[in-house]
Amino acid sequence: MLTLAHYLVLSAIIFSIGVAGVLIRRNLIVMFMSLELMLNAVNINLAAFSSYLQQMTGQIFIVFVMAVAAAEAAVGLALFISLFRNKQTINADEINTMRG
Amino acid sequence: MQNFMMNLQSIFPEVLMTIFGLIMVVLDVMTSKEKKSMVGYFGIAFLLIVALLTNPQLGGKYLGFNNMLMWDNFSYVFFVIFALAYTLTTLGSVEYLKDKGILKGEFYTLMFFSILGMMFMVSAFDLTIFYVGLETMAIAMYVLAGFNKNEMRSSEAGVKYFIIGAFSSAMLLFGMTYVYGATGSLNYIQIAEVLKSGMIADNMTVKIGLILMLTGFAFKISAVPFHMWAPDVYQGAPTPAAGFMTVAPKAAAFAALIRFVYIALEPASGLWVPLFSILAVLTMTYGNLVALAQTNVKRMLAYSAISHAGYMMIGLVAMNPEGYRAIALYSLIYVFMNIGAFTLLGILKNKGMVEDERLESFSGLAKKNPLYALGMLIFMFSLAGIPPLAGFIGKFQIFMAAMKADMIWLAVIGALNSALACYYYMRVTIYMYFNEPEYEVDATVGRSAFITSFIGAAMVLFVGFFPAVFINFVKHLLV
Repeated sequence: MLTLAHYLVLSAIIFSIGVAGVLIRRNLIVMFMSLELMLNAVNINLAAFSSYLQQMTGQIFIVFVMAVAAAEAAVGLALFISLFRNKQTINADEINTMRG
Repeated sequence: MQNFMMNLQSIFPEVLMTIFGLIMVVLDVMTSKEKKSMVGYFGIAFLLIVALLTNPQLGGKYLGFNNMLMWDNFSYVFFVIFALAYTLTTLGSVEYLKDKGILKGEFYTLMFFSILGMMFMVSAFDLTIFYVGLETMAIAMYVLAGFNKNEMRSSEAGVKYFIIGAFSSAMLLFGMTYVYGATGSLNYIQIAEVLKSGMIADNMTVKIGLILMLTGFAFKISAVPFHMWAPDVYQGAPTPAAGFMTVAPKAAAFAALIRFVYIALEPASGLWVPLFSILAVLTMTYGNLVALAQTNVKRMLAYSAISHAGYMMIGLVAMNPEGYRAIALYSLIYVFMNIGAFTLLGILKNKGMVEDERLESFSGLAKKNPLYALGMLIFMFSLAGIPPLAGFIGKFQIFMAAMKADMIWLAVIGALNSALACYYYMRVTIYMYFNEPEYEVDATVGRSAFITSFIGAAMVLFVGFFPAVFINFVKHLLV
């Protein structure tokens, strides 16, 4: 029998993987994928709570989160392309023209 | 029917803004390539129309859509702040963008739509609305930061802003889900009711959720230690966009935070007040100390923007109406002085009067161009908070709010910090007035940029000498 706790643990694990990915990986595309992972953990959490509380609010929120994630992907990838055109790299460690 | 009218009134300003924003997109297609600044000027006219049509009468409150959206004086005052930021940025940006060859209508459309997002953030009484508003604002801001796509620095700023911004909103969202799970609602009023009923305040789920949410907020207002994106983004972004970014999104994040903590988290103030007091001290001190070491004026202004966020946080933790009124006043004043300073900086650099924003290249600016040196002097003095300029009035109100809340230690640290900040602001003026010029340059500055810096400087002086006008403007604010 799956309880609320199972879903919460799952989403916490996925969220941690996402955070670790953003902090550790240096490829911008992989970092972006990790960000999407974090958002998906949010969605699992919302769905679990929504079904546990017998409410629709959480599920409606999921739709908004997904829509925003799609918009974010469009803008993010465009920014990566404009960066790549300038510097021929998407390695986060090499993006360091500004310091101090 | 009654209900429908109430809903309509609560969302009316946002509906108007959406329609006008779409009209701007059409105008952008219709105008010829050299006349894209018209899109921006139309935006100013549209904002003026919205500001005139949607002024709620004193004490008027329009709460609609099942308590999800609120249009009241608080939303209106912050809307005016965003509109002023847009107006000044637009006027100051035309020449800068023309010089850089990126005068496009999108610049203005994006700013306009980001203001729509900010309005939703400020008016939100529900975490769903707040989140959608936040992202509407943030996505437009990512594009603005990376707007000059031919320049490496701008692209870099855009990408950095995007990664950190998306990361912090994911954090914020994850916190929201826990708050939702523990309280069973996303509505501020209902969250407050559940928190008030006791028990839940000791609940681990709520605590984790709130800490994650407040961390996300701290990223958005660039509070130390969540500030590392801010200097790079503000330095890399096109200068007018950077001026806008240091002012409007920060004011919006503060306003949304005020609504959230004063309504939803009021019963749990024991949890967040100590946290934000520490963050306020760290933010002020760190921002000022690092700004001391900067040799690039634009980067110095970026760090000064961080320290100003610290001052505003004092108003937040004061937990009294004076506190958030002071924040509104401070944001309003900050619009004039910071956008003015950024506009001047961008123009001076583009015309070759200062080279790469280096501090040394400001040498002898007073001899090269006395008028602009005077403008810079006014903005620097005001940012430093020297009486009788506007910055002083803002800081004074913030510190008064802290004193009233018996947080004298916080006011003292704030005052010491503004003394520290004087050093690096004064350094710019010393270079301008007391050093010999490094090189000669002959340049003329166009009308629109002149108007922006003139309005900014005039308002800084005006607020400084007649503060009552602006204090009355925010005096009756209630969350």
